[in-house]
Amino acid sequence: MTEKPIEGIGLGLRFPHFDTILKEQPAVPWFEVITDNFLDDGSHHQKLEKLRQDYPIALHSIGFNLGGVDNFNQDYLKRFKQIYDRFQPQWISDHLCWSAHGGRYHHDLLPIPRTKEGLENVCSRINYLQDYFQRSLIVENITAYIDFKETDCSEIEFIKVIIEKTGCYLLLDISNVHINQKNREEEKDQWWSGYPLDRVKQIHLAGGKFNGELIVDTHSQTVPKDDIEVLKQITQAGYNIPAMIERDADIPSFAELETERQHIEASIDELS
Amino acid sequence: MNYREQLKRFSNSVFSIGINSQDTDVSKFVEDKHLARMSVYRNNLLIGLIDRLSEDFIAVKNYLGENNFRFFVRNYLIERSITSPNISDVSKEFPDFLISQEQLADDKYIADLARIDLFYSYEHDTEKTLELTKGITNFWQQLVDDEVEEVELKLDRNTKEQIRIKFVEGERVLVISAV
Repeated sequence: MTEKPIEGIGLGLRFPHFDTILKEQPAVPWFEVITDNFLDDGSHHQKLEKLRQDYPIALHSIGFNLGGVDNFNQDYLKRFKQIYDRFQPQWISDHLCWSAHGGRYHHDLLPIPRTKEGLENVCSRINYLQDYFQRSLIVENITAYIDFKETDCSEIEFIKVIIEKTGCYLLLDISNVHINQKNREEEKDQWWSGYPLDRVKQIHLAGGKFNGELIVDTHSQTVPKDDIEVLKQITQAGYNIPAMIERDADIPSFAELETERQHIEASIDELS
Repeated sequence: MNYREQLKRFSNSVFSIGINSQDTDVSKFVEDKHLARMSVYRNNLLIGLIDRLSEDFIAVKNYLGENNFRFFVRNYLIERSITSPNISDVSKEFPDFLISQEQLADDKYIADLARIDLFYSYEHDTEKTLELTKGITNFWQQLVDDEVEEVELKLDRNTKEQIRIKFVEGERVLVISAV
């Protein structure tokens, strides 16, 4: 397996593109792999092994249920660990959300009430996982379509305290912040400077879609210009953070997605 | 209201698809102006499941038709919930659910079609076989290709065929052989 570090603009690995990538060996610097797509055995495991010879990867999860209160599903953790050991990602991440309760799984990213209890709960669970995997976890800010009446702090403050208490890192999803701002009709210039950028290991870029009055984080569109602009501003501020495009619906051909990636890569490269 | 209780009520509200008063439980802690937005989470749950099962059960979906397929998926969610962090487990239990449905009790093909769909979507052991009534796999293929010639098949339940998975340039192919 390659020991090349994760850097530059990568892509989310999606099954329809697997064979093209293995055949054409495109100049994509790295891939983010959704762990949950590899819970079942199958030929995709052999394909990932091949891909891993040439590309560094990060494992991204949607099932840790970080903000939940159910006991961790030990079968899920065990399986994740097997995948982790086999493919040796450079880091692992999941969302700052909850996704299951009372044994029922939503398979969705649900917002955490930002209360003292919510904070203590999520910190304790992040610490548990960091002990389990013997490494730091990276947590991602999510899109939230509702706000809670009882909230002790802003999202940025919440994230900062979590990082301070657990030593974890942040996966900053620029698109999620923009979607939340638009859905709340907020205008915030230079919002990104409020995030602890020295603790950001990775950046997500994705395009959402209008559903009535709301923009929903569908990962079905090209990355909006505003999001690329923020990535450029962060880079210009001296933070050279690996970023990648997420595409999970209306998935275009690999060539089309790669053209979009190269366009973003070029706009970052021209800053230096 | 404590944190655990909030999650419980939120989760119940999202899973209460088809019930009119589903937001009552969350109105105590979700901002009033955002109550209507709870529908996004209900939609994500239902549409996510429909998308997933549509991908895994192409023949069943084409056989039942879009509206009937969605009807059964919705009932599946209401009756069985989702109890695994592995979303593919939801697909693995779907054939059993379909077979148990009163509306499909007299259907001659649905059980086999669902079994083949599941086999095609998930089986990776190329040695493993599935035994079926002769002719049903061709019908399945026609449904997958959306080129059904006749719905009333003449199947001899005593004559069997078996199928297995073969990988051709990474693509799954069903191989049929006589028993």
